[in-house]
Amino acid sequence: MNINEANWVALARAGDPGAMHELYERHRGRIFSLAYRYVRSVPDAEDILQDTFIKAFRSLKNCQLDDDAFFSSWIYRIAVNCAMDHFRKRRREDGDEEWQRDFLAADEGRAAASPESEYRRHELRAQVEQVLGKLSARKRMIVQLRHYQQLKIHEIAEFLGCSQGSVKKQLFVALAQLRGEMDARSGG
Amino acid sequence: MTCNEFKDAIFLFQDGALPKAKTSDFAGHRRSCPACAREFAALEEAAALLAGHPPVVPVPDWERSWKKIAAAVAPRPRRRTAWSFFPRWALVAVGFAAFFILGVAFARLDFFHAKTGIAGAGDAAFSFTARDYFSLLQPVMAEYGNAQAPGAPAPENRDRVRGLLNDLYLLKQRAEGSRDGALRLLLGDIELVLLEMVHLDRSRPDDVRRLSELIQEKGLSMKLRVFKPDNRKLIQI
Repeated sequence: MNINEANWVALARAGDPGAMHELYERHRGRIFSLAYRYVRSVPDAEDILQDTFIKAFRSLKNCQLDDDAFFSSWIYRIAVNCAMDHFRKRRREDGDEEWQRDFLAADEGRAAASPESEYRRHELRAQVEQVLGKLSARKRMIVQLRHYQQLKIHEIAEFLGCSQGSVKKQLFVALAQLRGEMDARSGG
Repeated sequence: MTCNEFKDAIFLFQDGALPKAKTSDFAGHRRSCPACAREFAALEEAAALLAGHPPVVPVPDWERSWKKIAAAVAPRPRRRTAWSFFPRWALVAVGFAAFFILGVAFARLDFFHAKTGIAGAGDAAFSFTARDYFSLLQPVMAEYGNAQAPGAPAPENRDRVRGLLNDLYLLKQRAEGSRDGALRLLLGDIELVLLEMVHLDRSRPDDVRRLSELIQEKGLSMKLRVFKPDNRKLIQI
């Protein structure tokens, strides 16, 4: 945590709205990106963004953030948990198929407005997302953190509170599933 | 390097975190093991697939989200109650004053009980005190106590004795919870003697004499003089 951010965090801990807004502006992009890539829905990602910051600011008074526990890592961890909770909740409410249709619809909507040359690319992206939508919340998050957020294995393990071996194993399974599904689609 | 070790090292290799000493082993195993080479290629392919088709992240309405966050974390205004109009120090001072006044009142009450031996506050409306009562009782006791003396007139004040007995009952009622054993004993003796007086047949000299002896035996004349209500404080009854 740099000195400047440490000051903002200290002020936010004391309840200063300006400092909270500053922290929000600094981290909102990364958190929204994580949330959106995970849930593929702007309203849902906005919900995750809001939940993350509300939880963070409410618990900031009581948590001990020393030099090693960076605010950005801490809030990112909150965002990961919020996103997984949201994903599980939506899946329970909507069911797997509807959830996947939402993913497809999101991509198809954009594809329709794209030039013809981009169509195939969007189609492939939609297929990838559809396959990712079938993964469990945890595997999906691991793939997301690894391939969209470019985190290393030990960082993912730290965020999710599990061992590196567990992360590797789930990543293997998730990528194998992705590969198999994509091969089946291209074969069919 | 075994196949399991190779698989375990794939992600470290991708992260660039594989130690240099192991990198040559990793590359050697990849060349020599077709299955692991296929596994590695497939993982690279999947990674490329994901990396090549990242979802485009739209720009949300940042301000709308911030307004919701700010509203949720803003401190809620305190409800104004009647008490909230007084400064906190004033409430504390009033509390201390009330505590002090009550403490003094109870201390005084306890002091009064300890001195009088009577539990409970007295009835201020009651028209006499124990001292008054004993002063009224003394001449009667003297009169009956000397009744056996030669030439003494037979006591005739039966109505007065009844009045004293009634007053005694009121006095005893008030002194029921008394912690003073001597007081209770004295009142009991007075009651016994007054009852004898009420039922005394003045035509029988033996009865008059026995009553006189009883008064002397109980030492009532002396006790009523010695008993010092002043020292024990006034008994408000």
